[in-house]
Amino acid sequence: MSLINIALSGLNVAQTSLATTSHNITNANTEGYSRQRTEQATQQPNFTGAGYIGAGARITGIDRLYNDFINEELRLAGQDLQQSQAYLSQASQLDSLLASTNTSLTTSLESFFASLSTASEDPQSPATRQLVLSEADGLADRYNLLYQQINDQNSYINNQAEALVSQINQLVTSIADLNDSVAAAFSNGRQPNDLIDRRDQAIRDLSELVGVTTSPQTDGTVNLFIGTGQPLVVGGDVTLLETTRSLDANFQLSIIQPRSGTDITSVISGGQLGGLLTYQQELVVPSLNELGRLALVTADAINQQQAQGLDLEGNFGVNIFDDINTSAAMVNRVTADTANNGDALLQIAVTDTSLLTASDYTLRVTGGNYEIVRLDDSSVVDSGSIPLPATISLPSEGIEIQLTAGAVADGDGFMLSPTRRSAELISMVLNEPTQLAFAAPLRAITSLDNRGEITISQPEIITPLDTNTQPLVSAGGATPFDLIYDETGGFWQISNVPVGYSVSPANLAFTPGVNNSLTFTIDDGLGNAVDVTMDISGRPQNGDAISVDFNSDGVADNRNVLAMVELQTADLIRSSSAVTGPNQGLVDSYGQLVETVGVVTAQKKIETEANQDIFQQAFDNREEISGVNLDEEAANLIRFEQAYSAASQVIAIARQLFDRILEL
Amino acid sequence: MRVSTTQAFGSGINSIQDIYSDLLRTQEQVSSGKRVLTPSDDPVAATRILNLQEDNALISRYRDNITLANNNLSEEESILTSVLTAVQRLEELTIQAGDGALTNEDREAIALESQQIYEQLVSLGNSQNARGEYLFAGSQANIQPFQLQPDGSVVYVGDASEREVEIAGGNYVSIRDSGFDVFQHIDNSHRIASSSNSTVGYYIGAGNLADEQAFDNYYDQFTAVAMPQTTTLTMSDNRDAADPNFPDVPLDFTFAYIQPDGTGPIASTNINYLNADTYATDGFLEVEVDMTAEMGQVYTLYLPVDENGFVVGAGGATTTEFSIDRQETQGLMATAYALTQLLQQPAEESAANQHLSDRLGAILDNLDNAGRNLDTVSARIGARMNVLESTDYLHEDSEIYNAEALANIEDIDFAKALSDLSLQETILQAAQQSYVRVTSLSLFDRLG
Repeated sequence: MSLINIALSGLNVAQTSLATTSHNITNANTEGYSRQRTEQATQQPNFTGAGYIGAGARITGIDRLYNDFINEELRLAGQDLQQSQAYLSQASQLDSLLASTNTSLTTSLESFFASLSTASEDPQSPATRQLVLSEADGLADRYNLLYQQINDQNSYINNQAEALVSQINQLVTSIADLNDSVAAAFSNGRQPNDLIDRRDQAIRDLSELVGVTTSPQTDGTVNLFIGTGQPLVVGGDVTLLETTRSLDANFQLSIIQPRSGTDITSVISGGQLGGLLTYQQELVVPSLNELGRLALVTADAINQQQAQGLDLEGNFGVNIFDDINTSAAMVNRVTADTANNGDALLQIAVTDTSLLTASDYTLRVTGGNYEIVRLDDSSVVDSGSIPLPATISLPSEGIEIQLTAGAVADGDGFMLSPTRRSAELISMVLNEPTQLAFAAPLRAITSLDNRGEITISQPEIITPLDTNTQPLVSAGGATPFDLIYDETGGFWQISNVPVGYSVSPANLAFTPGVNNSLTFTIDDGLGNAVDVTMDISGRPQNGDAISVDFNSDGVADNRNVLAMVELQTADLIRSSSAVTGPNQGLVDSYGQLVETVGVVTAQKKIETEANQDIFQQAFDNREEISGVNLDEEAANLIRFEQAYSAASQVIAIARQLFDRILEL
Repeated sequence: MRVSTTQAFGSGINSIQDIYSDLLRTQEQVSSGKRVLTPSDDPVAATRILNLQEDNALISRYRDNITLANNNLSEEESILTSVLTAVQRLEELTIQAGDGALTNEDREAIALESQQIYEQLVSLGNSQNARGEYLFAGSQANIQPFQLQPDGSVVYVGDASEREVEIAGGNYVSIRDSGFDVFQHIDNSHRIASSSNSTVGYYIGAGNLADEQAFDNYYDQFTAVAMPQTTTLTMSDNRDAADPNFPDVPLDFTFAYIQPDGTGPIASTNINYLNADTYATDGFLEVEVDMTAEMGQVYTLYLPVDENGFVVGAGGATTTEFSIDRQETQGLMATAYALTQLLQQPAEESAANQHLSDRLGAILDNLDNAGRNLDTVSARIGARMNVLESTDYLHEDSEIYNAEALANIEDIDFAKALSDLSLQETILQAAQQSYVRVTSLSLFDRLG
């Protein structure tokens, strides 16, 4: 009797082992599956006078082969790899966008300035003038294109972030459900192998989307936390995520936990979401801001130089690019928090493009005080008590914040982005080539009646001209006037200034024989003044005269277009908020942006490769323990089949023994 | 080590993919010829490439400007050569016309040629380039700079602006000179313009600048007086008209002058009758008024004599005025015009003839000055062209250097890249074959 029982127990054990092996074979390709193994032991033996007689075998358990430490390593490696991959795939796009000859700003800037240089040789030709306008248009288009491309990427990131958040929520929910099931199975005292594999795989999947920290509990459940410890899954309880408009509306989303209302955007790291958000924060926003600043500087510098000269009709130049402070542009630079209680409407005027930073600012009102913070270094640039002044001038930042209507209230927040959208808004507005102002407004000539020998340079206006000061040096303004030399006094006296104007100083001291740079101020008595400088050298005699006049009909003059060409290499931009004045040219600034993006992309490439290796190592480590080897399972199949056959043979023997008895 | 089946398949595929992506990248580098395809391939090199490319763009722009500048300067140079030839011809004509043996008709013939050269000079001064710009108008290139007046003279309406182009960073070269510098700003060697208001045909010569310092000192007093700061020289013919022998009486001329500011008359005492003893034969009396002490000039007056050898004039303290205007410069056109005008005047009498030679001498001086000024301008053009040439060489060197630097940084080493390519290809093939071999091994195949 016991022989059959023993054989039966062997059959059972072999069958279970065969089933487990089949389970392993069929799940060889199941993601996250850990191979299982049957553990067998002897049955309780029968005690006889002769001693213990074995009673067969039994299955003590079906084990899952795994190592918690290695599993956790694999999960973290996946998290890091996905983060750097998500970052890299975006950064590579930006990298080639900024540097490709077809899209790079450098080529457009170069073409534009080259067209100006061509025009300097032939300033009145309609063809060269038209070329300048076409290139200016091309330059504005290039800014628009770059903005568009990066903004598209940003929208993609935002869409992606929304999709990721909804996937995260699904995974989080299913992990919580699995936690519940695992806990139920645990209470039966048995490990639910496949359930645990499924949950661990779900956690790995989640980690690929966003960085989480895990905390295994004694009841078999795993708690998940996001960011700096915000709960995501606690047992079977979930806290879902939600995307919402940030203060920086339309650009970045905020990720919040609606249950607690916490904004966790800034603490999210790891996984695809972490990679995308970090990329957005580290490269998209700074790139757009930098491009915007370049666009503002370009438009402003060219427009200002244009206002400094005369067009073919003898009129002062009008804007080539759209004014940098149109009311639409100024309003666009501020976004108000949707939750604001106050009804204040703010706008930003750019007052000095050479001092602009590429940073954003926030204005927040708390406890009756407002505070303006520059975000790139978190320094407070201005503060005070409310009500907000009508204009907050920040001369060292090159901007002015204007309160156009309403008032702020406690708790209000505003995002101030002086440069963000400027690369989108820049456009060429001048269509008439003859209106390009290539000539300088003043010219000078020495008198043919001079007795001494002198050489003069043409007068140069050093004050940036605007509509108030232009009339001073226009036809019918403060010209013509003369400089007459007084030999005994050793100075040039300014004489014959038209009525209503004055030029100071009236006497310009002069040293004969060397080059003298003489600077004087023309004043209209109404608070407008223009500084003019002129080089005079030689040995004048008493009464020698130089006549300064408006440059009427000066169509062949190219002094102002030469000044425009100089803008290409002139220092127009601050390299950082740590320097007080402009120290960088347009191309250099753009080069710096390209380099920054290139360096970061290169770092991410290396990081991704490293993460790839780490992940591969962790994957191999896990496979080494938990992976299914089909050859091994084939061997097991044979082994367990043989065990099964052997046990069957025992039953056959038992039957033969029984038959023998019957034959008696 | 335990190896799972997934691992065996996966790692094989992974390594094949790695080799494949390396292969693709090498292929991309070979087909573009560039080592650095995006800035992230080598950020430091990328920045240098950007700098070098900008530098190259600037250099090619500067070289374009140098070519254009050369064209402009050559054009100007060829015009100036024509001007110089014209000036030299005028000088020849002036010398020829000074020949006392010439008749009025001879002079008129010379005047005709002089007139033609004058017109040629005006048209050279009004030269236009292919784009219709007046080359010598300064900044007002749409306006004809030398404008013809009803009396046949021209005035310059341009200005003194030049045009510069950039030929190297911050380095400008002038590609055009103004008419003011080329044609107008020419020293008047005598520094004055004299004219006679005589009704009886007294002539005043062009003056002789004897003492520049005295001249300057004299005019230092009148800086407040508007040009032309005329000094009026008065000559009183004090011969006793009541004398029955008049005009056969002793010469008695006294001179005085009124300063530009109206002060005077101030007596001027230093007078010489240069050919008082010969006037009867050569038909004119030459009077030298030496005002060196007063204003640094010596004036020569040519007074006609009548058929009896006596100076014409009424005597009895009649006064003749001569105007002396300060004139520091005389444009080339004005000199050529003056020459033509002078040669067209008939000179029947000896005094007129002598006065003509005096004036021609002054004109010759001014033509000399104009020639010298042209030489100066031409020399300046030559110097600029030299600068252009040497700068162009510098740019050429920089271009070569930049091209080398760019090639070093940016370009791939083809030999190495191609050998890499075939190596990677071999490795890929090996990896693929071994993958197929390894993965086809399975114990299940052996299960009967």
